[in-house]
Amino acid sequence: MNPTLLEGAAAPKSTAVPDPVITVEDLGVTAGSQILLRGVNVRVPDRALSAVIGPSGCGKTTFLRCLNRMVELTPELRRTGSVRYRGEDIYAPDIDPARVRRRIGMVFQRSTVFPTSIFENVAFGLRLEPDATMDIGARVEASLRRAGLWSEIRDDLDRPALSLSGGQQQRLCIARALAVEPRVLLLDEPTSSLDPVGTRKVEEMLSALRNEIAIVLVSHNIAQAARISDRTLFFYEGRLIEEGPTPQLFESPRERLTEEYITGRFG
Amino acid sequence: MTVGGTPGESPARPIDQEIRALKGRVLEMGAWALGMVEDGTRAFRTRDSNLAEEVVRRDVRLDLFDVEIEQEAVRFLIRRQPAARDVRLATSILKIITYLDRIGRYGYDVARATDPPPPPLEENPDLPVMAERATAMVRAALDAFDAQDPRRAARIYEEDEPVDELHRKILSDEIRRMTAGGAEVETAARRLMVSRYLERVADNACKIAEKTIYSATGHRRSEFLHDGKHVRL
Repeated sequence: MNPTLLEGAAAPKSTAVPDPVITVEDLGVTAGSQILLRGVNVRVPDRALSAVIGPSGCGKTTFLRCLNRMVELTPELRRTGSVRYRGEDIYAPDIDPARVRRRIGMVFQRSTVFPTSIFENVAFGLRLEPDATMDIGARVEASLRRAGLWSEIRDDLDRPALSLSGGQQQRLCIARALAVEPRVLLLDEPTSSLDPVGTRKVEEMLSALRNEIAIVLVSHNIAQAARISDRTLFFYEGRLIEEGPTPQLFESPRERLTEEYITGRFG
Repeated sequence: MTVGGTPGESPARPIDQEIRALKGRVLEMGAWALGMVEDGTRAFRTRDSNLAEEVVRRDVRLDLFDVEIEQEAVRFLIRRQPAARDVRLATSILKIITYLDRIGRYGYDVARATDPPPPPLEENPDLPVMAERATAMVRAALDAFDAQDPRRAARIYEEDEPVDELHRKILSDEIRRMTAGGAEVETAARRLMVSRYLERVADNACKIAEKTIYSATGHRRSEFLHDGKHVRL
């Protein structure tokens, strides 16, 4: 048998990310003696949606919170390893965490709508950095359009944001995150409390948005990850077990643990 | 840390019962298709036009199997949204039933070659050997599919060349008979057709084996053969 042919067949299919927007190296997180994450190496591709899946407690949310220094807001957590945004260490002493979070925005599981108008909710981040040249109205509209909400609420911008439906509130939070024009958007189970219609709208919006920026989505919904992501990362007990292009991972996972999780044998 | 079982235990899932049922249906269709080839060949060899006619009638049920199992597999895909080996099995089944349908159709074609019975002639001893080998390949392919055993499936390919060899031998023997002329021409011509159908039965057994390798391992046959260590068994 031809040895080169043999090697060709043996080589795993390429999972390389040539030009990552975020590079994670040897990331670890502990809480006292408990290990939440260990030895995680990931390259997050630009203009693509990466889904993070795994059973409860596997470290997927902790991983997400490391990507924009949110992890620092929990004092008992200790982080090791590096996270670089376009080559720059986001945890370097001279880096302002607020600047990191403008570049790398985050949307949470439950919508965090402020008790103000729809308009002010989206304008919130923009007002924090007053820029005389900025047309706030235009930026709010653009963000609402990108979040797929504009056509539904264009005539109601002064209405209280809390009067919106759950799905609309979640998309409003995404519009608010988009208003400051992040390059990366982190989402932690954004549809877990939405009904099927609300879920579909958020998914449609993310599918369009993933061509513009990098999105990292934590989801406990395996079918959702399969539907809308370009890459999938599977975590188990604080370790990244497997990652790769989503169709490949869902068709023929390399690792038995991944196989057992996505076929519903545990979790 | 995990809910609903731990990895490695392979606890029974509700989906497993549906998978078993789907596989059972494929085996049922396989037995039906095989019966058509075996009885079609018997009818041809014994010049039994009643049996041939009966085999021809079985084609209706064969078509029904195809339609029903396709529907069941599609419903399974919609309802369960399976992943990994589960989705590979369901999509493989969609292909395998097409191969089984073809196998059954070749049995039908062999039976049709019996009607009306061709003039009696000294039997070509290679024809029953070939029928035996081709049907044994289908049986082995169905066994490998049932067990989801890629090694057993890969071995089926080794049986294909001897069947092709027999086909070529029957071809040259029967052409020799035909050149002798007389009543032998028609019988010999039909034997050529039957030999060709049986050769195709063996080919479709290989196709089933190919899908079984994919379903069981996620790898194509060529990857599997070249790279045993890369493949999880």
